[in-house]
Formats: sequence, C-alpha cells, structure tokens
Amino acid sequence: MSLIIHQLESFGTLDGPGLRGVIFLSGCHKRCRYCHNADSWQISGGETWPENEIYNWIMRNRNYYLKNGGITFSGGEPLLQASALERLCRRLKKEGFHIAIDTAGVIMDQDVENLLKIVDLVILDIKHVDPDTFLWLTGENMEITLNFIEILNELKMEYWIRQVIVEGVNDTTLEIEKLEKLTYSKYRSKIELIPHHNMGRHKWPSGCRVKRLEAVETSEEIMERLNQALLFFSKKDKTNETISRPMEI
Amino acid sequence: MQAWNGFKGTKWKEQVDVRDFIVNNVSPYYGDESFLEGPTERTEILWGKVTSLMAEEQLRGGVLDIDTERVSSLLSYEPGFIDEALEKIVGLQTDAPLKRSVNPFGGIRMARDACEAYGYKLSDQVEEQFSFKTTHNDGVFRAYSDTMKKLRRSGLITGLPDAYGRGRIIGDYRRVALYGIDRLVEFKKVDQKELSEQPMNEENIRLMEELFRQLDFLDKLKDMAKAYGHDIGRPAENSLEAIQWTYYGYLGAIKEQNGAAMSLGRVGGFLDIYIERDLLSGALSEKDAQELIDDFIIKLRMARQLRTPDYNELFAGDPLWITEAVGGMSIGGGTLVTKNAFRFLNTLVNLGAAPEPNLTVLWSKDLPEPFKAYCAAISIKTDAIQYENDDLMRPNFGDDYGIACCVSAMRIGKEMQFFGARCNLPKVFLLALNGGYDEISGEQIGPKMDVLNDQILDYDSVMKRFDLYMDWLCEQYVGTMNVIHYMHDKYAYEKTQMALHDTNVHRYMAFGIAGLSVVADSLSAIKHSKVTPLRNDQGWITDYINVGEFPVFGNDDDRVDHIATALSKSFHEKLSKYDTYRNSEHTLSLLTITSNVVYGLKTGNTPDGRRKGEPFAPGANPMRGRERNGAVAALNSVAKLPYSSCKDGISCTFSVTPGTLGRTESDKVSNLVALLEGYFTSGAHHLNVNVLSKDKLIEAMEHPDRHPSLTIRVSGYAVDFHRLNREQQLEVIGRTFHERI
Repeated sequence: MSLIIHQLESFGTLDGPGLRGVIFLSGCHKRCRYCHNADSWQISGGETWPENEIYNWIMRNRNYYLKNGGITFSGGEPLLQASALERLCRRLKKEGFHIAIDTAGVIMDQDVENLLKIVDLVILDIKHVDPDTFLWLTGENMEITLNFIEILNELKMEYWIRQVIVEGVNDTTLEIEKLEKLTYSKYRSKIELIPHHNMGRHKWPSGCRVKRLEAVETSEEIMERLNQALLFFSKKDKTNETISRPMEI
Repeated sequence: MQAWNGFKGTKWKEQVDVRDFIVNNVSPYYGDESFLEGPTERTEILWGKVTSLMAEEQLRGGVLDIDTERVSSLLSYEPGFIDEALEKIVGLQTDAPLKRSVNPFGGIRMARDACEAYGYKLSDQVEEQFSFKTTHNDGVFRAYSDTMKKLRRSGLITGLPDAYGRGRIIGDYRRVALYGIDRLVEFKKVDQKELSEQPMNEENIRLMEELFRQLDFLDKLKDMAKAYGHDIGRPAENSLEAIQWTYYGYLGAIKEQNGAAMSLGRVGGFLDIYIERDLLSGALSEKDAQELIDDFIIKLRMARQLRTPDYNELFAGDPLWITEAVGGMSIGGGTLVTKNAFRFLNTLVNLGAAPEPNLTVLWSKDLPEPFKAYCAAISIKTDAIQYENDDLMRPNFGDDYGIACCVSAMRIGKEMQFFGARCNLPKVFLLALNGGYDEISGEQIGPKMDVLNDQILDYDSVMKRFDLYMDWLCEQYVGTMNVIHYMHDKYAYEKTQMALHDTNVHRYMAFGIAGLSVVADSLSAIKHSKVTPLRNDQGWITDYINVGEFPVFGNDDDRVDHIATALSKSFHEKLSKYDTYRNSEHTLSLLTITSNVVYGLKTGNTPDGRRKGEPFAPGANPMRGRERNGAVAALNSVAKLPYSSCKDGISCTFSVTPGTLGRTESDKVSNLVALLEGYFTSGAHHLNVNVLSKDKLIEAMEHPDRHPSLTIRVSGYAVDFHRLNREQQLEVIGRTFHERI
C-alpha cells in the first residue's frame, strides 16, 4: 500500500512530545480560513510513496526519534488515509516508536477506529469553542469534533487539544476557559495554544471559494496572557478532580 | 605526605600515571546543576578589569600592546598581574595583561610582519639576535623541493605550520600538580639512563638530546613559578595549588611556543579530586571552588599570541584552541562527569559567553541525563561549546585522551601529533582535469598530462585521472610534512610540553582535506547528470555546463554520500603508502577552521555548480543551501563519513534557530539532547552547535554594539563574532540555518 505525502519534516519539535519525524499527508476537505498548509488540501497535489519507502525513511532517522520522541502523522488530514496508515503504524509500533496523529477529528469510521487503537497519542485541533464561529471558520459542524472526543474517551486514548490563537477570533480568556471545560477529560494530557502566523499566506490557492482570513500574527503578549489563564483554569479543574475522585470510588 | 593524603591507588605513586590517579579517586556526579554558585564580588571586579582591557584591545585593532624588545620564553619577563591583591591564580605570558610577546622561533619574518601590522617595529636587538639563528622556517625552506614550494604557493596545501609553531601538542599539565617538578625530573633521569644504554643510533641520539632539553626546561618552569613565589618542585597540596601548578605548566608552554592550537587537555576531572578533598575537610566551600575555577578560566581567556593578518584569514578570531575535554566515560563503564564538569561550563554563565577555553563535551549515550541537559541548556544560552563522540573515541584512545585544537584526539602525555593543516581537494580535482595545470596561478604544478578531452565528462575516466593526481598529491603532502616536522623538531622543539609527556610517545601525522562536499557533489554531477566542460582560449577547462538533476551531499542519499565516504577512505589509504618522519601514524581530518573561505577564493569553478571564489563548506559540512531534506538528513550524511579513516576528526557545524528547537525552554533542551543522542548514536564524530537566527547575526554585523559579546561556533572552535572579517562574517551568515517554516 502507499500513502500520499505532502511533505516530510525530519526535525519535528512542534508536533507532539520530543524530537519527531513528522509526515504531512495530503488531502483535507476542510477549508479553514487561516490554514497555513493550503497547498496540502488537494490529495492529487501530493506525492505517492510506497509504504516501504516511508518506513525506510523513518528507520534511517530512528536514532533521533526513539528515545524521547517519535513519529507524528499530520496533514492535511491524516485520517483520510487511515487504512494505509494503520498498516504502517503496526510496523512502526514493532520497532518501538511512539506514534501521534495530528488531526481535526472530523472523520470517524471503522478504519479510523482501528488506527486509533494502535497509536499512542492524538493531537486534536479544535478551531473554536463557539459552534457558529467553528462552522464559519472550518466549513464543518463542531458536533463532529465533539463526538470524536467522546470516542477518544471511550477508547481511553491519550490526547492533546490544540488551538491556533487568532487575534480577534479566539483571543479572550473566556474562550480559553470554555475550551478547557469543553474538552476536559482524564485522557486529555495537554492543551496547547499556538500563535497564528502568516508564513503560509502565499500557499492560498487563487480563485478559492473560501476567502482567507486576514489576521495579524498573534503577539507574544496575547499568548502569555492566554497561557496564564489556561494554567489557572486547569488548576481549578485539577482541584475538582481530587474532590470528585473519592466519590467515584 | 600532605600532598597525597587520602588519595587512593598505588600504581600512580610508583610511576607517572595520571589516569590511574583519576580512576582511583574520581567522584562521579550524577546530579543536576542546582549546586552551582554564581560569581563572587571579587570575581566580578577582577573580570570587569579584564573586560575593559579587552575592549581597549579591540579599539586598538585587536592588539593591546606588544613587547618588541624581548623574545618570549619561560623566564623572559618579570611576573605580571591584573591586580595582584585580587588574583587567586596568578601568571601572565608577559609582564602586563594582554601584552603580546614576540616568538620568532618559527620564523623571524612572521614575527616582524606581525609587529608591523599593528604599528610596531621589532627591536634591533631581536632582529640581530635572530640574524645568527636558524629558525624553523629557515630550516624548512632549505629542504623544500620546487614542487613543494609550488604546492604551497598555489594553495593546494595551505596553512602548513612552516612559519609558526605547529602546536597540536598537549602537555600533561596535571603532572606538575600531582608530582611536582622535582619528582618529574627524577623519572626523566631514569629514562635518560636507560636511553644512554641503548645503541646510539640516530633515533636514540635525537631522543637523548631532546630529553636533555626537556630537563633544562623543567628547571626553567620551576624558576618561572618561583618568580611568583611558588615552589612547584613539590606536588600541590590543595585545590588552589593544584589549579595553580597545572596552570603554570600550561603557561610555560604558551610562553615557549606559539603553536596554532595550544590545548589544555582534560584537567577538570583531575582538579575535581583536589576540590572534593578540600570540600570534605571543610577547607573549601562550593563558592570558593567556583571562584577558583572562574579565576583559572579568566587566565585562560587572556592567553594571546601575536599573529599576522594572513594567518588570521586562515584561523580567524584570534583563537588559541585552549581545548578542554569535559565529561566522557571511563573504560570501566563509570562516568567521568564530576562537579567540575558543571563548574567549567558554569563559567560561561558567571563570566559570560566566550570562545576560550574551547569547552568540548565528550558525549556518550551513558552520560548522566542531568549533565546532558545542562550541556544543552548552556549551548542554547551561549553557542560556545562543541560535542565529540566519546563512544567512538574511547575504543581508539582510552579514557584519558584530550582534544588538540578542534577534533584531534590523543592520549594525554602519551601521544602527540604532527599537525599538517589540509589540502584543497577541489583544487586537486581541477588540476587533474587540466593535466597538472593550475588555471588560477597559471603554473604547471602537477605531473603534465593532456587536458581531459571528454566532450561530456565521463565518470570513470575522470575518476581514473583524479586518482592518479590524488596519489601524486599524497606523496608530495607526506614529503612536505616530513620536512616541516623534521625541522620543527630540530629548531623549535617543544621542550616544556614534551617534558610533560612520557619520554617515548606515539606520534600521529595529521593530514587534512578541505572541500570534501564540493568534490563529492562534483563527482555526483558527472556521474548522475551531463557535465560538459568548457575550455578557455588556451584550451584549459575552466567552466562546466550542467544538464540534469544529481544527488548532492547532505540529503542522506547514498548515491552521493558513498562517493564522499569512498574519497576519504581512498585519500587516507594513499597517504598511508608513504613513509612518515619518525614513523608517525597517518591520520586524516575533515576540518577547515575558517580556511574554507580562503580556499574557495583560490579555487576555480567546479562541476557541482559552485562558482570560482565561492567558499567551500566548513569541515565535513554539506555545501550551504544544498541540504534539501532537513536537518536530520544532513546530519545523517555527515555521520556516514568513516571515522576509521578520519581519526583526526570529522567536523560538522550545525546552526538551528531557537524556535525550531521547540516551544518551551525545557522542550528546547530535551530536543537538543535528542538531536545529539541521535547524531552520535549514528556514529558521527563532532558537532558544533549554534542556536541562533540569521537575523541576529546580520544585526550583529551591522550594529556590533548591540551584541557586544556574541560568540558563535564556526568550525571546531568558537569565535567572538566581531573578530571575524566581513567576508568571514558573510560566510557564516550564508550557512544553512535549520529552520521550520
């Protein structure tokens, strides 16, 4: 089997724990208004790699990833190629790699579930906490992503929540508090807020029916403020947790 | 005896064996950096005085003052101080801080030119004194053949130590502290007696004379210390003395010799044993211990030699390569990381980042994790340290080796090397195509053959031709080195340093290659695409038209990486065919210092698309901008180069932007550790690590005042960025910075 690849990153430090090989797969049917990999939308724009070649590429670099890092499949939307990914991931698990899937969580079928069962971590990108804004930003219904979280919880899978912070779109502490509450679970091990940048602007296809959201790069001050807020809300949740646990027993 | 009180082991007491002393007494440290202390007020005041002198030195064009009246040696100057009342560790090269001495033993012209370059004039008395003296340089030119002179002039072999001290020798300065000079003299006298009973052949006579001179300089070393009020005839009795005695050994060496690289060795773990003893007895606190180390490092940062502007082009930034090896593992499997390993790195925090001493972490996968993390954190903060693979070197050099210069390993006090700079391999390649003719100098340098007449360059015929010329070059290169080192031994023998070696040492002869990636890519172009040579009016090949894609070094592509690997192996094999002076062992390095810029200037267009005059990549690096598959692929290519053929070291310089290493500070640290682990587990030898952005360097070039102490690793050593000339700064800025977009 083969996979359709948009790009490889051998020195991935921003997509999952530790130093990772990141494989960006081609194809995504969402049209997020500030996507910085718009060139990965069309599956036809990618390069077809036989599974073995990807496996070999990873194995050549394994000394870098085995100790604290691993492999992340990102995109595009990697779950579009779930069935082929599952085969590859099974081989990688045998070699001892930690595997993460970086997804928007908008696809759920048997192939996806089979894949999720063998990976170690899901990095779930949630664009917004307000259903209407979510729909406007991504062209998709937020319910689908929330259902995805439910399934992760049922599967008892570790996951991270990720949100790109765009000034004027989701930069209030209120929204951060909502995000924290909405995704709260003992399987969620981290929330990561990422500043928006415009380095992918030139990749936006001309004549695209969706207009790109023009926003400034998110300032360090905003990120600092929101991360502080996040820390505060997660601590609050942790205190709840210690109170609620004995009652569960 | 007070000096050895509480120290364990017996072998080291009966013979000179510092390693045995260390193995028996080392206190491995597995903890983190939390025990470390900041600078004391005294340290800050003293260091403040030195930094203002250094600022003054920069204002005066890089040299504060020169003593043109005297010739440098152990006893030429009365004691000098920064501020006698404040100094813990004493001793300067001359009678005043940062004042440079004249050392004409390598060659009087170089000393004269260096004085003039800074507006001084070498005194008549020194000129007169040396008009009756044969220098190393005189000797070399008495024996050089015409071909050797041409090789040198055209830049096929450059940076040869034929007009200055060869360096790359590490005295075992620890012996001064552990044994005291008197006992070292006794041991040497035993050797002398033994040698005198051997058949008096040429080799033995030479060694007998050398031994005589070593003994003479051990006396001088003792007198040098006496002038500062210390009796180093006896062994050191406490931490202060151990550091002081060790430093006297080093100071004697740099007063006597102006070698390019005058490395320190591996003193940290040794000194830690004295510090641990004093900490235990309560004689010393941690603050005191750090203060002593800080003071020692201040002294090392003040070491200077007088150089000419030409020299600075090859070895930019006024380096001395006071290389100190930090960390590593023992043969027995325990770690040699001590608290002193942390204290030495901590000087980069206490005194700020600086290029010297050249702190070199001996990396092993088995190093304690907190130490790995601390090294990475200091790299990120200062860009001042380099890493070398202990797991690769230990099987070759044991567990008491040091690094001379950048990447040259040798057993301390037991092995030395004859430094051989490097040859310009792309130029040899071009010479081969043109049948021995150098189109830049317009001279016939190599054996005369027809210009290669392929319409499209054919890989096999090019390789056959190149092979012939490499063979010829290797024979000439070995011969040239033999001349240089014969004469250096004769006219500029390292008395102090060799007195701190075993009498019988193992010798390496260290050759080098510059521009390996240029040649590998050129050969790859010929093999995998169509290269049409263009001839000028006289019929010489001076340019190429390249049609088609070809794999380039630095992308983890075996089709070209194998070419680079095979070239290094073959070059080493060819060198090894030719006899060396004193039966030294042929070794090879892939290292350029900053000469990759000058070498590029002297080299015409190459078939890989590099234009005439364009710099080569530094060391074993891929050519800049050609690493298209990211950082790990680039490092994988370098890791494939065979250390077994390149035992003098394979240098790689790696720059990454801070944001690319990770989002948080702790992520950055752990990712850098993972990078080093991955690289060294893959069998690589050396890595310079810079964590900075191109923008910062550009800003520092345009506005030096905004980044006054910017240190950057260039090629096996670090420099103060402002001491590089404009071309060198631009070359550093033009290098690949791994960055995620």
